[in-house]
Amino acid sequence: MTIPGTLFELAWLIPAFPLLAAGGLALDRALRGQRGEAAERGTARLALGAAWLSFLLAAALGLQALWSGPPGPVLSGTWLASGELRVHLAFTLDSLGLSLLVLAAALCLLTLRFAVNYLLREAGFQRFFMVLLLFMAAMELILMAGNAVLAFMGWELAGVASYLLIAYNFERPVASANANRAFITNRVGDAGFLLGIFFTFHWLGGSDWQLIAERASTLEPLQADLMALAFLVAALAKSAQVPFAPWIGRALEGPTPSSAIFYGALMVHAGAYLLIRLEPLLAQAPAVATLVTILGGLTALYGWLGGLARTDVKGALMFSTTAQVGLMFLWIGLGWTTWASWHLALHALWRAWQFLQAPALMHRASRPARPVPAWLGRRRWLHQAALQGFWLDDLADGLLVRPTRSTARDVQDLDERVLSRIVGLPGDAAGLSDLGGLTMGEGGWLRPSEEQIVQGRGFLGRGLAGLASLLHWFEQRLVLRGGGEGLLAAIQRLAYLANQVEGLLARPRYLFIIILATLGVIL
Amino acid sequence: MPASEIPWNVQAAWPPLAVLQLLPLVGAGLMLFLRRETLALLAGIGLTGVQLLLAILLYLHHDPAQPALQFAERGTLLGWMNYHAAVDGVSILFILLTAFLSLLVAIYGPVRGLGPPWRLMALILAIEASLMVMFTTLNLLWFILALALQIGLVGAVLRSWATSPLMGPALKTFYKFMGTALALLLAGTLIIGWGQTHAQGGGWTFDLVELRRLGVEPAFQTLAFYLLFYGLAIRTPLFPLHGWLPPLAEHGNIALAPTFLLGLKVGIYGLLRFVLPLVPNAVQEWQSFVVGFAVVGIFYAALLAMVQEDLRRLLAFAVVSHTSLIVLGVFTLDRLALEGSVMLSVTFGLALAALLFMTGLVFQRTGTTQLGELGGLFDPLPFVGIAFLVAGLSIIGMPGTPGFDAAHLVMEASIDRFGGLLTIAAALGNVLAAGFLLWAFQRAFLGAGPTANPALASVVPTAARFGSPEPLTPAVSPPRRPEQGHASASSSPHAPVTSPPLASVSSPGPSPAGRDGIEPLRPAEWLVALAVIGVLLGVGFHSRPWLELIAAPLTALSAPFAQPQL
Repeated sequence: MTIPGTLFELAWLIPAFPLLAAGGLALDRALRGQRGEAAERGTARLALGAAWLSFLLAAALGLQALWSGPPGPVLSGTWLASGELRVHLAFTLDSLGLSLLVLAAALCLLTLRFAVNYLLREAGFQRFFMVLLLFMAAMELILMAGNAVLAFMGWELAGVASYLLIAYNFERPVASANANRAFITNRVGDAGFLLGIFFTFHWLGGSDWQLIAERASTLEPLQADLMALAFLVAALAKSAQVPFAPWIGRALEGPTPSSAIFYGALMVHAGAYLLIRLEPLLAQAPAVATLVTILGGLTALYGWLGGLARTDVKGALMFSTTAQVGLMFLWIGLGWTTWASWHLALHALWRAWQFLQAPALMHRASRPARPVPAWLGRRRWLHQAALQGFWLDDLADGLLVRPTRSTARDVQDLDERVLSRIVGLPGDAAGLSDLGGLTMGEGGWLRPSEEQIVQGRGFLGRGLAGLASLLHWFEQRLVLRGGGEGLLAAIQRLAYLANQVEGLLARPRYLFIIILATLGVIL
Repeated sequence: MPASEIPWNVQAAWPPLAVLQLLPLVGAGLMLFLRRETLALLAGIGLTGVQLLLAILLYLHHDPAQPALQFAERGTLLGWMNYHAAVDGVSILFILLTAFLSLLVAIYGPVRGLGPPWRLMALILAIEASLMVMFTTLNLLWFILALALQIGLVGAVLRSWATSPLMGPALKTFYKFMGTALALLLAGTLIIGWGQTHAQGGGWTFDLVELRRLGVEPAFQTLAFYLLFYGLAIRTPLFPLHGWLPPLAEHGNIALAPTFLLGLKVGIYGLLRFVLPLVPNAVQEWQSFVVGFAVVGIFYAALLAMVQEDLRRLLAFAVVSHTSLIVLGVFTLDRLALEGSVMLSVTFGLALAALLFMTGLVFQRTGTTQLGELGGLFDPLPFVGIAFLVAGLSIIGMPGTPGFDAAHLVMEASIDRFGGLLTIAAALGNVLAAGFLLWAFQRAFLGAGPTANPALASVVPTAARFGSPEPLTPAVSPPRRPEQGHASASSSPHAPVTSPPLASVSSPGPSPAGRDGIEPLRPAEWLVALAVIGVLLGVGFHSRPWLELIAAPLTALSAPFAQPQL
């Protein structure tokens, strides 16, 4: 790494500060046992300090960019090099990236400061700050990344942080279940992101945003469509658009600061940001752009109606957020990315303020809450649909969450019954007796036949008698013992195994697994 | 596949394919207004009979020596939904089989008391219409839409005349699997069509002739092949995507839906008509993969068939097993093997229909299809037993039935392409088929019946009795007889749920003293049994015209895959 010539080459420090702070907090807790009220001040100081540093550096870069113009892509080194594959530590510090970066750093800083008071004397104080710092690093990485792989790193880290914070009160089963559902839904998007990265490497030779912008026009239409579709799935899942919309409603189990920053201000916009970055690709894939517009419009409608039917503050805020992000998708689909970026930035600011205000809303409210509008109340079916979230939640439940849980249970069964036995461990209490049974064995060794069929005299006679004995043993062993032993027993044992397999094959989720596995093989 | 086609007006005075497709459709619509029982029955049987005559006429006017597609009809709808139908020898064979089996089902249905007659006939005719569309169309999208229609209609049939209260979950699984199959097929079709759009800059097309002319880009052939093949494999069904079939067979109709669903090998036809011509590179590339799975499927299904307690489940696994053999033949990609596969499809269709009809007749009289409860049926119903035996023997490939010629062709080509080891393995699968079919015949028709001395049960091994794997479909045992005996007690690993079957027998069931209460065959049932056995043996002894019928188109189909002679 060269000595930094300009300030921009220090850009990698921006996500590094919060990351190091998170690590520091973890070490603090592990090594020095800092936990509980006594450690709150130290934790808050460390976290805020790292956040301030990050924000100041980002602001400095922003000012520098205002003064001398944004530098565009900044290369900090090569992360992965294998054959012709190159993944660089590249950051995109153009006007869009830098402005959103400063905004994100500022919002994270404000939220952290808010959280210091909000979570005063709460159990899990340190855990909260650790994860929030992790998220800060992840979000900054997404906004700064110069290629899809680095953005994916941030994407994944943000997903994990979100999962950990929804389940902040993990003793409550509702919270853990909701965290699982949010994570499972997000994984679908991550699969799309990975597929998209694979496509870029396969067809364009690299995943840098700049490379994609330059070479998008060389793609064949079907390739552009597929690549855009893959990234679109990722964006839809992360930004909770139709059809992935319901997970975000369940994500409000976590503390308010985290809800604000994740689902109000920053992470929910990550999908829209990804699509804005991929604007050159979308321009080559008009079919997918149309799809973006349609889905954005549908989400806006969904969010609007759902929000109108809600009577709780957080729910109404959530639907309103979803509707706004849907509108952003609509602008992007129509190609108005500058408009969408402004909408994004302003919405992030406004929504963060609104969410952080929400806990105090009860005290500040001077009027009663607005009831469901009359025109919606008159149309019962619409009202019902809006209350049920257009049943998207149940769809996701049936298609994603329940099969995943059942498969997980099956795998656990397999582990206990089959794999533990193979390795030699008793899988469960009942396994011990089976282990004993296994070690005793079921015969199979040659046993000389006790019975004498013939009596031979003399050398030749005894030789013939021996031969006859041998043949008799063979015949008896393999052929004559038809009833319950020999060939039939083998068939029955095999058939028992086959029957178990058959039970699994009749389940639709194993059909999907087979189909997807083959897809993986051929791709 | 020949590039040329002969329009219908060259060989006929009226478009036969359009009539073949429209007549049952119109008939189905007509049925909705014919509520009088005798009228509906006559109209239904009459219409299916007329269809059969039309099919025979088509066969007679068809020129087997001409490799081009004949009786071609075209019509313009939307660009990508254009009507384009034509037939060659393979299609005609399947059309004949469809018409014949539809007629038999139309006779068999009322005999079994499946009513009301107008609904039965309407559904039969509608399903026949969808099958005719599938076997005559050259437009891939039409094929898939007709397939979707057929699945919906079969679902309606299954729901209307289920034989067990556990039909619901089995039907849901069926719909889920078929939904996935249709989604895969549609995706594959769209990928093939999409590629063409951009390649030519023109409109979308799903027409087989157009697509063959333009060719599918090699980069997308694998993906398209995978999607189309898996969609058809779920429908056919093939191991390991066959999970929907055994529960459905166990709890659905005995003969009505399975004949249409399994007797007419739409999946195999789709492979021959669309997949092999459109994506030949991918077919060649994945040939060993598919063949490997086919061989495993033969053994797996045969193994499971050997230990089934329920005759219907046994037949379901028999279907999976012999369909794997057909796919093995198709993916040998040799002209002889393709001929053998088509003949095997027809044979197995006929034989399976015969087995199912006979099982249905037995069910009507005894109220059960559990092998432990059957037995001793040969004396009261000798002809049913003979028909069952002949059908079983044709599945095994006995000389004198068309199964012999067909299996012989497949094996011969398989030795050429794959060597002796794989062929021996496939042949061993055939041996297993002999095992389970003859054993099923013995337990259902011979043997001493359920009231026999329990000590004699050791003659038939009782150690392996497997019902369906829990918990989707626990074994449902029919009403308990006074002497239960050893056989039923060990009939399933789960506690049997005692519940009467839905479509119960009109007579109160066989008396404990023996099979006295079994009524003999009625004339309509004689007709059905005789017809199907007659056709089986007829085709078996005179197989040359059928082989000549399919020789020319299959030579053209296998030409791209021909290996250079050493």
